Amino acid sequence: MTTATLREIEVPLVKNSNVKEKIAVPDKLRILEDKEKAGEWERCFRFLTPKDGDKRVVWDSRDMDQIEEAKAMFDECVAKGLVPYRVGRDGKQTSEVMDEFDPEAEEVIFMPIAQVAGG
Amino acid sequence: MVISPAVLMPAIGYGGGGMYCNTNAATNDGSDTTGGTTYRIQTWTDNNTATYPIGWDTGTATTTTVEMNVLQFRILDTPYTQYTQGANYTIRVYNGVADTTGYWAYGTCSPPKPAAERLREILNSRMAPGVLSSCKPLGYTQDVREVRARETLRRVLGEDRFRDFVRRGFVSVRAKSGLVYQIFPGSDFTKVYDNGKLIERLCVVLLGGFPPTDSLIMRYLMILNNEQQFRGYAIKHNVYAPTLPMKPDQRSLIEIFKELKKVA
Repeated sequence: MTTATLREIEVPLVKNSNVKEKIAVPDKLRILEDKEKAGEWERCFRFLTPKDGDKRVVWDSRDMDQIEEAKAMFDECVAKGLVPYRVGRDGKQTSEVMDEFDPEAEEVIFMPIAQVAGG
Repeated sequence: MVISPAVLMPAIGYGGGGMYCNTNAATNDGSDTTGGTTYRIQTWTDNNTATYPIGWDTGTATTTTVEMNVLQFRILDTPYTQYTQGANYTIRVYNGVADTTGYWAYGTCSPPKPAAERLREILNSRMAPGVLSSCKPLGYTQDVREVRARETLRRVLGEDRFRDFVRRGFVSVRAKSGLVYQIFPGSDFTKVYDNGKLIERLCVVLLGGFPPTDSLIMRYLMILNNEQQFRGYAIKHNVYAPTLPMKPDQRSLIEIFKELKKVA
């Protein structure tokens, strides 16, 4: 049984701070393990995190419940300051920032923009 | 500290890509209190097992013999200026890094190049102009965070471009402005090229202890999506002329060959 801590993603969202906020992963969404691949119908959120490097959350694009939960999570992430970039199919490069949740987006990378700084 | 070769040498062993020296044994001669902090040994093997005389010019021990499955070996440098020249090899003691709890020091195997190979390299270097390159192939990492980040980058770039990244160690991307950005992992500068000429070095980092490749992903996505935003974050640094390759040896090949022969 997964514990509550495993169902959360820690992301640094505060500028100039190591404080990390936790984003809860909804129950119906799945966190992918290393080397585990998303299924044919699954769509993926990727989170860049200092702790894990990369955390993947997937949902089934045929399941309305999961889509709704994914949308809620997407909105929460955007509200907290993560910037969602859509990654094109078959690894084709893209630079598109998503304004709103698109259930057809195969992969979305969430960038912690607050941590970007000049050096 | 006095190093006794009779104690030190039997502690030498090797395996895998490197070799080990038990410095605890090496320094356990009753006169040393710094065990475990000093020695790194370099060795290389051949198919022979042979016995070699070793002479020491300092310390209490003078000569001893060592039987090892190595043709040549050496201990690099020395904090105590111990230096030994044998018939076919050199031993020096080195102030290196060691595990102070286990008293094991670590070295790498890299045999010296024979004179013929060095001469061949010199000849080759004279046959073509020097090449300036930013290529630095991506190293292997055991950091699982970095491995995951590279997987994400593979997804972002696609297989072909990711393979280029592994081979060259950077990603090049042409922004909408037409400028080409050369992005490196970690906190390295992002170089900006206009028609092949380096015009700027920009520094944009991802704070908070992210693995190096996450930082590259951030820059890549930002440049493609919103170049101006990226440049807004960036701090510009001066552009320096690239360092030219070392000036080739101007001596004649005959002179070089004579010197190599003398050393060999």
